[in-house]
Amino acid sequence: MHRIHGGLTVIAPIKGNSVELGKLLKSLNGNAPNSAFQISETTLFAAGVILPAQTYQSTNDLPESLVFDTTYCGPLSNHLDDLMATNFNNLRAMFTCCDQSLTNANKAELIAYIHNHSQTGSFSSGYNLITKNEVKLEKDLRKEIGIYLDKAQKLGAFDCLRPTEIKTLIYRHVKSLGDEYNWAFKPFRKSIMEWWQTARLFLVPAAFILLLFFLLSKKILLTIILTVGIVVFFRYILFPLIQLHINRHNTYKGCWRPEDKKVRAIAATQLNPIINGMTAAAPLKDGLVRRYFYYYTLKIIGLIAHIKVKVPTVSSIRWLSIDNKKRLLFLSNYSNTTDFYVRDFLIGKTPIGVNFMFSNGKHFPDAKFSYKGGIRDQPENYMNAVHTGQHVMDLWYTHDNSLTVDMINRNRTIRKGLIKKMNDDEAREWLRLL
Amino acid sequence: MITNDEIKEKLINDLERESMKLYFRKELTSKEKGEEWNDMQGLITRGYRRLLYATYLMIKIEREDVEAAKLYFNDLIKCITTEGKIRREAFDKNQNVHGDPDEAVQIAFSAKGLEKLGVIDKVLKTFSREFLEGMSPCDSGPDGERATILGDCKKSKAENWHWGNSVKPVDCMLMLFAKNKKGLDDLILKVFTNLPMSVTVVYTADTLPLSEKESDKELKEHFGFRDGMSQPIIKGFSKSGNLDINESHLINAGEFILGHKNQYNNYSPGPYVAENDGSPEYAALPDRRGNVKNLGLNGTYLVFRQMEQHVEKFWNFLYNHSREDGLTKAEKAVNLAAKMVGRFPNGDPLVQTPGTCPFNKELLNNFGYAKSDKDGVQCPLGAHIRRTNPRDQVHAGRNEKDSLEMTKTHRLLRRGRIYGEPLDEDFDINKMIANSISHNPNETNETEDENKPIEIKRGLHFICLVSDIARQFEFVQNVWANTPTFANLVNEVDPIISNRSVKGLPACDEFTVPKENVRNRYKEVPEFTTVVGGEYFFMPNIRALKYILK
Repeated sequence: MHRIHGGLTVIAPIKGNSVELGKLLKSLNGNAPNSAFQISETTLFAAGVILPAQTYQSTNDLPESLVFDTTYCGPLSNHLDDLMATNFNNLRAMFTCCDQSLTNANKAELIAYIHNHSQTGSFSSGYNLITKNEVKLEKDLRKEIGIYLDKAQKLGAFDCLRPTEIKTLIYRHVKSLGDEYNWAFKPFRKSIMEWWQTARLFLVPAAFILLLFFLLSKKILLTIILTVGIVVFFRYILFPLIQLHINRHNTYKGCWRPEDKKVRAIAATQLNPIINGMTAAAPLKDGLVRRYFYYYTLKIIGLIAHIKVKVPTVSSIRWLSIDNKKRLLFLSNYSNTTDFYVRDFLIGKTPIGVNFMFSNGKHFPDAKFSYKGGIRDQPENYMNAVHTGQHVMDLWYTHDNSLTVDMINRNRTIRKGLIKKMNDDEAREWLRLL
Repeated sequence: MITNDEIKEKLINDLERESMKLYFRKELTSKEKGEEWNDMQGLITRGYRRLLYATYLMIKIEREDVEAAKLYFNDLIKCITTEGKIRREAFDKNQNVHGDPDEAVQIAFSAKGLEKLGVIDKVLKTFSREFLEGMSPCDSGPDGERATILGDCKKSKAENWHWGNSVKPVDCMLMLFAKNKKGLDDLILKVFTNLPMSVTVVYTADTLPLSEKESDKELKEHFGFRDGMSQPIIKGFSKSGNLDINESHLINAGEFILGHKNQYNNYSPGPYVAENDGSPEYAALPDRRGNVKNLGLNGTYLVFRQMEQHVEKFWNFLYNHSREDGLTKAEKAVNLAAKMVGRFPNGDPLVQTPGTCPFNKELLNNFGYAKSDKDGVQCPLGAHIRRTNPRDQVHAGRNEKDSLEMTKTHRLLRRGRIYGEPLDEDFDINKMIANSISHNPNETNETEDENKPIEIKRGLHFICLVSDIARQFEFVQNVWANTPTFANLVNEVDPIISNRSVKGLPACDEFTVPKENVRNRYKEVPEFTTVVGGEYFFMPNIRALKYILK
């Protein structure tokens, strides 16, 4: 079984009483000890938010909807089974307020409902291939090594020792702890599925080129020219042409600051010291081509690979086009508080990718060719647009509120390093992780 | 006889003409540029280093007779020191325009103050949310947004403050600077003449006079370290000689002065007034929004935070716990203190070999971390100066270029001064240590009861000027200083300025000193500072001030 991270996003129009649904979501506080989400083995993050009805092109056709999303580890079928085992009654109660009566639904029917209402777009996780349990174990391992180092340092036990010797002592110490840490000495291996998941970004184009190579009877030059031509056509001709068409009637006049009261209410729910989550939604800007272009681009990005958004504070992130391709939905779990996090998108080359994701949403700044300018040139309008689109998350769960994505990855490096043979320089680098 | 226009032209010549062309709006005429200086309060462009004496008067305005208060403040306008006024006087006296005047009066208002003075709701709403809420919103409590972001809990919670909370709110602050004690006393008398009943001073924040000597040891804070080493250089406003010293400190004016271009190449957003919402003369320069007038232009937000420093506790802890290098316990204590601060007491940065730098403020500030000290072996990752200005290494996967770009959007223009008698009058660290260890650490001015205000003895009036309180001051305080996971550290916050209590987490009271092989980690590091007062202020330009008081 693989450990690839995925994003489940269920969008269900609300037919019942949304106030009651809001209360229900709040009552399912995911971070309470022994909550159903805590018990779940596959759920890394979960959130529930009520999106208000919104207007697209002067038509009130974006209904009030429940968004329930999870970031999970492993196959989706396993995750759904896990949710049913741990959270069946809660989920059923949640979706009963929506467009179908599920009062008497069994697990299979609820799974079918979730499948029917789930939507995909682009998704990325900051620590793919690490399970919820591994996060915990590796955190404990780092802590245990830390305690050992503290004691040894006070006694001066490492004085005059070379880095490799210190590392050996650490190895022996962990070994001496017995069964509890046996897992740390098992070699870390990727399954075939996991290899494929990380390698397909390169393998698929490589296979395509090879195919061309054989189809064109080994005419290498022609193959290369054709490949480059296709890439250039899509990247520099088709894509900009579509963008020009989409933006031909640009009328963006900025986004005014939303009511302080609203921003304050949202901010109050996102003051966790290390990890927070947010949901923002906005109707798409006008244009039929835009709707389809945005929708299918997100799909393709999602299919090719987990996109690597260069925002180092991101634990998981996703953009979707929902409600018949008329509404942009942005979901994220991240380090820091919201305002400081979304400002991270403005640094370095990050705006290039993020511009495409956001510039199609109403209130967000337009970006030339979908990547130039945009949020980078109009940061205040962008911040106002984020605040305008943000909604209070009544339900939010994180599997560990004390670890940033960087720390989780660092703990994985520590674990891998423990059993790796190293020279002094490598061992010194490894010791500095502790 | 020199005409006014000639004077203005002369002034402009002195304002680094080339850089002004670059960073001021090009469409402004020389005359208009001169008007900008006339509008701007002097504290924005200078720290009044030569005005050794200063006091900050925290004022409350009674609602019962606001008109009398308005009359008083209107009368005070002529005393407000503007950059233009300083330059005109210097020009008249044939002196260097970068020199300080004989005295200075500056004024700033809190959101409550503006509201009391009758600024209409529609205009008030154009100020930033953080400013409007204030540093200690009375309805939020210790779990509120501002308190959580700033870490104002336990002993530092607003309920314990000596001013700036709901018990003793502050509407206005007058900052008075003078060359000597008599000058300051005279200035206080001057501003208190005609003080109406509706204007009362609720708290006087006195400062320790600065030393006349230029040398670094005379500019120390109470722990004994040289302070104010790393200041941003404002493009178009600093001395021309500084302009090419270090690109990393060269910051667009809009980061500190409202209405100018900031690091995003946008005009920093500030308060504004619709054309039909008041007399038009207060803000002659139009705003980019079109039919509005820029109320914030040439003004700024001022953050004031009074931090009590527990000097005895600081040196006592270091003396008894340091495992750093050193022949004596005192030497070890000093070395650990340097690791916590990020500089040696004389100001030498840890990332440069001490003693090799000639005493030159710019050279002492001309360093980065990414290349020379990425693991923090010289300057710990969690050291105070590394957290509050990570320079070219903000961690979390950012490269050097992006790090610098990011840090430049989070700089603060500091204008603070220390208060209270120092533990040793010469700021001699060995004497401070001797004094500290002769006391029981539990007998310091800090009470253990977190619900009781602490006694004020000595500390820092931290003042910084920013155009965006949230993006600059609150970001630095929250994301860099108070976040326990900064640079992948665990359970530690800024060792000097941060509260060890972080909501929802165990005590963040560790401090890690990376070493060549294995780090030293200190546990149960106590808090060395406590916040005892604070508020967000708006320091208006003169025309905005006239509008507020109209």
